[in-house]
Amino acid sequence: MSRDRERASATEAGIARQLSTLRPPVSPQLRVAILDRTGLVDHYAPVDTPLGLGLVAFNRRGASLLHVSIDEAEFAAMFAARIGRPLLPAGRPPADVVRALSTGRGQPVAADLRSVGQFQRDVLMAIREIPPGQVRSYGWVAARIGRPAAVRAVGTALARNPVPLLIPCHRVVRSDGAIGHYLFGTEAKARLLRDEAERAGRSPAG
Amino acid sequence: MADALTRRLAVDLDRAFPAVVDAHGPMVLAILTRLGDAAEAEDLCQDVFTRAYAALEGYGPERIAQLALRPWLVTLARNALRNEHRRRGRKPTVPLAGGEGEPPRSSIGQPERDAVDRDQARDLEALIRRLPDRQQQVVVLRHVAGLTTREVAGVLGCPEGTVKSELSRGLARLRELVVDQRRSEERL
Repeated sequence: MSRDRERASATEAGIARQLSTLRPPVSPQLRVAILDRTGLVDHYAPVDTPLGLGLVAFNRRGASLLHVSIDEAEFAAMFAARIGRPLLPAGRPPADVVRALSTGRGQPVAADLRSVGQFQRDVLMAIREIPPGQVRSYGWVAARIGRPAAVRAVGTALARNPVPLLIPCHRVVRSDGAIGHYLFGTEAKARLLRDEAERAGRSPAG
Repeated sequence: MADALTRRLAVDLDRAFPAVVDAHGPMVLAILTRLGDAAEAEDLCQDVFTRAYAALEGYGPERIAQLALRPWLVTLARNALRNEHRRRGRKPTVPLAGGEGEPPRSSIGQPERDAVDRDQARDLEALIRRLPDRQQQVVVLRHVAGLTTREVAGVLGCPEGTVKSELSRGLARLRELVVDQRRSEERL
């Protein structure tokens, strides 16, 4: 190899080295934007509910967790345990969530149910369409998802509804007319059903 | 073929995907920045990873485990660039040589070496754009994005030998451009 050629390849090696520094870093903002668009980061905000002030977590796919009478630290811990994605504060909750919680009607809100198993998802999807002012039995739900013997499991699935009120698990009651359990307590369930029945009775459209 | 990250991805897509962004984001962004319009690169980068995630969701664990993640992401990035070019109906306008109007940098001390290297790297950003298309592709994929020559060959669908010769031609051409630029700066 000639001297010139040697020098040339040394220069080219230097150029190749410098080229490797032309890799721009992915900024934290870009990282969050990417995860946002794939629904891999959630945001949370306070929201008014018929049971008082609550917190709701949501992402691009829909609401992922809702709870009432809970502080932010407890909510974040619950989110970490049940869902485990990054969680960031947001200014305000999505408009459809606010509307659904303030009126108790409107289109079913998009819910992100990736955190739950197939059986629970079937149960939650089946009860989404129960209109305000009406109730169904645990047995109805079990039959509806093609698992008529799984009545008790339906109850367990509803008790772990990640987005109560948005997916109306309070509208499922015992077939003997008893009100049944509710994750926010039987008293709250009775009050919700009473209010919804009253409102449905007032409005012919309901 | 499956590395640790691919295996994690196959087991739990949602939990592993952020690590894919962390591991390969700089490579994807480098390709989009250096082969496309730098001002659009971050937006396109979001598109690429959104598409990647949607595709992975549809693949299922077995197919994910077979995936050669890096070349696959490179292909998605190149497709995004191609679509962007088509959408605009022309190649993006890019700045030509950089570094105009900068003070001459003769007789500088050792502590300033790093700064000079950064300056030269910035010059290279502009000079890459003046390479013929094919050389530009292989130089960026190999040296900026950090793919192996074999991966570059796979992505471009050509023999590895072709990649190697394009690569040495590209680097030789870059060297000429660098030398030319220095000469013209010295004349200033």
